[in-house]
Amino acid sequence: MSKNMMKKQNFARRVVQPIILVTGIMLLSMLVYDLSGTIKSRILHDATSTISALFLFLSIWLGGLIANTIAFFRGATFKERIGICLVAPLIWSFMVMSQLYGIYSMGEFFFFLLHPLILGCPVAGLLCLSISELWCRKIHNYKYPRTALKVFQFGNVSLLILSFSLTFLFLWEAGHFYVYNIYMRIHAQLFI
Amino acid sequence: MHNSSSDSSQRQITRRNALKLLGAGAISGITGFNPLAQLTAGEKRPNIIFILTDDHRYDALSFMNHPFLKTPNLDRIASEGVVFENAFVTTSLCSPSRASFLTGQYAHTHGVVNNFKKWSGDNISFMELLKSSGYDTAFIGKWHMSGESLPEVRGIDHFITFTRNGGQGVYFDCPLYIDGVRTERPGKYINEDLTDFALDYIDEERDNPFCLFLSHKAVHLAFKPPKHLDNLYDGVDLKLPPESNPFIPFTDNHAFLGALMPLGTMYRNYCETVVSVDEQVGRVLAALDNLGIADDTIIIYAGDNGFFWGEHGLFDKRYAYEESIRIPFLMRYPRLAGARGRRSQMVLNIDLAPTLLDLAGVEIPDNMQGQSLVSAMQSPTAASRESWLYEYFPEFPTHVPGMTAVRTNRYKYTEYQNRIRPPELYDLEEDPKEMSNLLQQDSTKNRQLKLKLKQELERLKAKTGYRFTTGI
Repeated sequence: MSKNMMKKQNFARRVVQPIILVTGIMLLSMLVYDLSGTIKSRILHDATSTISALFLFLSIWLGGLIANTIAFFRGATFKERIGICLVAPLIWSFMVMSQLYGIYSMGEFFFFLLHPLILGCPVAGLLCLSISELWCRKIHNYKYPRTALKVFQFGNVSLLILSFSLTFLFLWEAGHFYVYNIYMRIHAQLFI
Repeated sequence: MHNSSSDSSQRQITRRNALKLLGAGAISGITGFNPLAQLTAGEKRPNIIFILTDDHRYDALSFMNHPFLKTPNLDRIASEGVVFENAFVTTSLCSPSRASFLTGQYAHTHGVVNNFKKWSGDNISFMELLKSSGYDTAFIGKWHMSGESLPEVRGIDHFITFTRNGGQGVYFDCPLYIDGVRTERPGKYINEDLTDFALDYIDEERDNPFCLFLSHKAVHLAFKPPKHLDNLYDGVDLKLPPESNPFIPFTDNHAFLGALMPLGTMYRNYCETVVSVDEQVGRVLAALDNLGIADDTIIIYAGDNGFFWGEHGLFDKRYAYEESIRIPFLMRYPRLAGARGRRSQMVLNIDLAPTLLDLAGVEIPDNMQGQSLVSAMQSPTAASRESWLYEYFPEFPTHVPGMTAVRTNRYKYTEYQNRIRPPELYDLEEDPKEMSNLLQQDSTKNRQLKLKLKQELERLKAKTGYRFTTGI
C-alpha cells in the first residue's frame, strides 16, 4: 500500500465483505437467540441469549460503524458506503415487516413501511456511517497526510445532522411517542 | 360528552322499570337467586365498588403464593370474600376487555375489538342500567376506548378520566378531565390521585346506593411505582421463568418493540407498582370501614388481562396462553350468604355486568353474553360453564395474528388467522405451562381430541355470533 494514498480494493473486498460481516453477525445472532430458548441449562441459556441478543442489537443498530470503517479503508466510495450501511437495517426491517403479512390488509401492510421503527432503523444506519466517517477521515489523515481529507466535509456533516435528527424523531422513547402517535392517527384516518 | 340519558334512553328506562318485576322472576329461574326477594321494601340496595387494574396478572398477589410480592389489602378482600381462581378474559387486550366488563358482551358484539376501535354510543353498560334503576354512579380513571377524545357515555353522574398518550395516561402529572373539564395535576401520582377522587365520592352524602368504577392506569407499561416504593424489590430474586431472558422486551421476535429496559428491571417495577395499587385499595377499604358501610358494599377487584413475563418467550399479552388470559377476580360481599372462599368454576370478564345487575335486583338484558356469578359466589359446587370462547382481533401494527380458542376445564385448542401459526392443543392438567403442543404428536387420540374441540369451538362461535373483523 502506498504511503501517500489509500488503495482501492476490488468490489468483493470493499463492498461485499463488510456487508457479509455485519449481516452475517445479525443473522447468526438471530438464530442463536431463537435456539437459546430451548437450552435447558439455566446458566448456558442466560449466557447464550444475552450474548446473542447483544450481538443482534449491535449488528442491527450499530453495525454501520464497523461496516463503514472497513469499507472506507478498502476504498469504497461514499455512495457505496451508504449502501453498505443500509443493507443490515433494511434486511431487519423487511423481516419485521414480513411478520405482518397475512394479518392486515395490503394497504396497512405497505403503510407499515412508514412506521417510525421501520424508518428509524435505516436512518440509524446512516447516523452510524456519518459518525464513523469522522474518525475514518481523522485516521486517514494521520496515515496519509499527503492526501488529507477534510474531516468536517459538508456532505457528511449534513448527513450527520439529518440522520441524528431523524433518528431522534423516530426512535425516542422506543419509537412509541410523538411521530408514532401521528403515524397512528394517520392510520386511523386511512383505515379505521 | 354526554353524561345524562338521552330522551330515547329515558323511554327505554321507563320500559325497563316496568319490566323489572317481570324480569326478576326470570332471573331467579336462571340463577337460582331471587334478588328482589332479598331486597324487601325500604331496604337499601348494596353499594358497588369495582376496581379494575391494567395488566395485573392472576398470580401477582401474595395470596396466590407469589414468591415475594406483598399485597395485604387485596389479601383481605380475598380472605373476606370470594376468589375466582379460574377467572379469564374473553379478549386479552385493554380496551376490548374493558368494554366486555362494562357490557357483559364479547368484543365482536360490543365492537371494541382493539385499542383503536372506539366505544359505540349504542352500547349499554351495567352502569347505565344501574343508574336507571336508582343508583348514583361514578367512573374514575382509565376509559381508553376513545383515543385522545372524550367518549359519549350515558348513565354516569361523575366522569373523571384522562386522554393523554392515546388514553393510556401517564403515571406522573397526568392531566384529568373532570366531568369534561381538563385539569392539570402537577405533582400527582396517578394511583393516588384517582383514589383521592374515589374517596371523595364515597364520602358524599346521598340517599341512593352508589356504583363506583375505579379504573386504574396501573399496572400498565411503563410500570412506574411512586417514589416511596421505587427500589422496594431491589436485589430480590425475581424467579422469572426459565425460558425468559433479559432481552425479551427489546426483541419481541426481533421487532425491537416495547420499552428499552431489561425484563428483570421492568418486572421489578411492575411488582412495585402492584404494591402501590394494593396501598390504594387499602385506602378504599379503610374509608368504607370508617364510614361503617364496608359490609353494605360489594367490592370487586379485577385485572383487564394478564401479562407475559418471558413465558413462551413472550412479553405483553394478546395470545391465548394462561398467563395472558387469566386475571385476578375477587368479590367481597359479606351480606350474601356463603360468599366466602375459593372457587374453581371458570368465570369470565363478561360475567361481571350480569352479576352486578343480579345483586342489585336489576333485570339482566338478553343481549348480555355473560352469566350471573351469584350462585357461584354462594357455592363452590354451583354449576358453571364447561367451555368458553376466547377471541383476539389483530391490532395494527403488532405482529400477533387474530385467533380464536376454546378453553375447557382440561383442554385448550387455539386456531390462528389464516393459519399464520399452526393450531395448538394443550392438556392443561398434564401440561399447565402449555409447553407441549399435542398436535405435534400425531396420534389417534390427539386427532380425535382436536376434532372434538374444533367442533366445540365452532359451536361457541355460532352461539355467540362470532365474526372475524380487523375493525376496519
